[in-house]
Amino acid sequence: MQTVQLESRRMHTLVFHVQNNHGVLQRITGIFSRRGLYLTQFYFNGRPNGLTEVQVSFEADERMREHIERQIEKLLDLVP
Amino acid sequence: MNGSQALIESMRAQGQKTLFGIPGGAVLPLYDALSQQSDVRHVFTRHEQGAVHAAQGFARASGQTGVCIGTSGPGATNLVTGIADAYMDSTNIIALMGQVPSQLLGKDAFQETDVFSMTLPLTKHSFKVMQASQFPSVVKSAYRIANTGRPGPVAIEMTKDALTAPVTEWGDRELALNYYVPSEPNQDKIRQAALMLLEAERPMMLAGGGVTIANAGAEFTALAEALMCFAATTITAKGVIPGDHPLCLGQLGMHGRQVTNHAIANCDVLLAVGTRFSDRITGRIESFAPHAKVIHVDIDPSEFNKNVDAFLAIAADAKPGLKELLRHVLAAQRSDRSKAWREKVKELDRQCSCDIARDEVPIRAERVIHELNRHLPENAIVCTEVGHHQMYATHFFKSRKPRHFITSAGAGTMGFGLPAAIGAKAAKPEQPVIDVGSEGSLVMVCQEMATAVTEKLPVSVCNLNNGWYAIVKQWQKLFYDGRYIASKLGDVPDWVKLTESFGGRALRVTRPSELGDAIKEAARSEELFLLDVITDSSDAGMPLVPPLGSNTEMALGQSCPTVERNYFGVR
Repeated sequence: MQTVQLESRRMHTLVFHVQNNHGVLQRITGIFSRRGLYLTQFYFNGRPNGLTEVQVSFEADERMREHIERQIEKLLDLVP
Repeated sequence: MNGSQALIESMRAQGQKTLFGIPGGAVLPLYDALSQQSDVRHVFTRHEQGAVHAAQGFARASGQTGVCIGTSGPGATNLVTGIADAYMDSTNIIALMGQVPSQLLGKDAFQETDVFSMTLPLTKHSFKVMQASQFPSVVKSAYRIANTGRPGPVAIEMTKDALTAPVTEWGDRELALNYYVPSEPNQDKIRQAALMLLEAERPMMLAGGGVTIANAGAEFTALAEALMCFAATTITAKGVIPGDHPLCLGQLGMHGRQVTNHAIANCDVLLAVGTRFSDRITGRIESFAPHAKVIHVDIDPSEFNKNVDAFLAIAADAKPGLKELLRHVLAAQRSDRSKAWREKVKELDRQCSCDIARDEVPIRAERVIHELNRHLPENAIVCTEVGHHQMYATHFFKSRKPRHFITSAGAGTMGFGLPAAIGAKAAKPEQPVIDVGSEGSLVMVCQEMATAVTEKLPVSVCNLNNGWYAIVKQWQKLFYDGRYIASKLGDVPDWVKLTESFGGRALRVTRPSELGDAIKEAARSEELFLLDVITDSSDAGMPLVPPLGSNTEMALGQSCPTVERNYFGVR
């Protein structure tokens, strides 16, 4: 059972920009923890209240990756 | 002007006339400012959970933003359940949460809790306000977020010093955030969807809460009529097509009707609008609409392919989406390929329309709903608690208008109904508001009877009192071999005496023949009025899909017909 999951899962990295408002980091990590996913890498670089680059890596199947992307697109802090 | 006054002025500028809340140390500056104005009414509830559910009821009855207030620490944490509930049901509320002065943040000060962080997974957005001058722009942004796109709750945590400090410069520019940008539905997809529906041999429509929120009931009904297509409604969509409309099949899913579940399971095209396909709707996902090409219209693209794969996904607000579909359908030549299907569905609908005017004593829950159908005026707003009575109401009550059936759907929050009814009454004082509840849920918020009486928001309560957590009892009976534990409530409190002690009126009803007059009295009561209806707890009269079971394999109620496996002849 586990093997099947591993085969359909692979590593993804998303790169995007957010405004560094209060709680933005928790909102991003919450998208993953809520769904029982682990982050394997995380990069966050910005100034208080300013434009911030985020890179997140995680393991998921295609369907979940798409779902995660849609959630990130809804962040009010996202700078599209 | 200080921060509190700026906050009130900013809400007033958004048209807010009513707030629900409870004071406490950290928000006393706000209450002091409220005391010095008369444009905005404050409804003093008796528990913060009451305040947030009242705000939800206000928003869902009127479409306008509901606002609630809780002080720092426990006041704000008491709001959290309702915020979660509003998030599940996409309700436009704003929760104002007190916080200790900013210089005490992180010092474990009295009534300091990190409620800002607590709300992050439960809101569309949360703001932390630590300076008075932030209020005008934060409030303006919060209203925009709560009300645009897919609506939802917004939390604003406010430190006490932000509420007291002077606002030296007024700036109410919206904050630069990633707001929802409306887009026109894709015309190619609309054309394709219209064609699929017109050519379908077994079409079905399904409305979710998005149709209610978009005020698109008329468009949904018109499309069903133009296509001569049967329609199912989820619990949050009750009334978008009148419950007594010949094309309305009503509730589907776990507590749904057999005809609705079988029709969805056998349709070849399913138009689903404004629904997130909750597990309570789909049952075992593999057996949900297995023959259907699903056309999914939703304002929130993250709903596409989340639970059910869409053949055609149309990102649009329900109202313009349905309008455009209707325009294309009306313009097309139609050949009516679904006549045979309609006859089969109609026949099954007839078989599944059992007589619920039952005469047993203790009174059957079905009978109560039957009498509500007969005697409530069309403009009555029905709220519900959470439990067995809620499922009976969803299954059997014929809502005739959108926004007239208000219930905690996604979260299933016991204690929702009475405060939501109070909020709905504040929004619609001219309309009768009745909470169809039962004692297990009602006892969690019965203190709000004090709010109804002292704030002169006279709601009625129809308490289906059977002495049990009836759904828990039913599940323990069906799935745990009848090992009942923590589900029997007994006959306390005495609901008549309890209501009277709060200053309301109450009537105990034990015989079916007394229900009609009692309900008529409740509907026209101008004070808090509770009907304590002693009901039967022995069994469920409805069909039920076992958890994670298939929607077509329901445990049947006493009068449910057995539907042949191949009734529709679909392979």
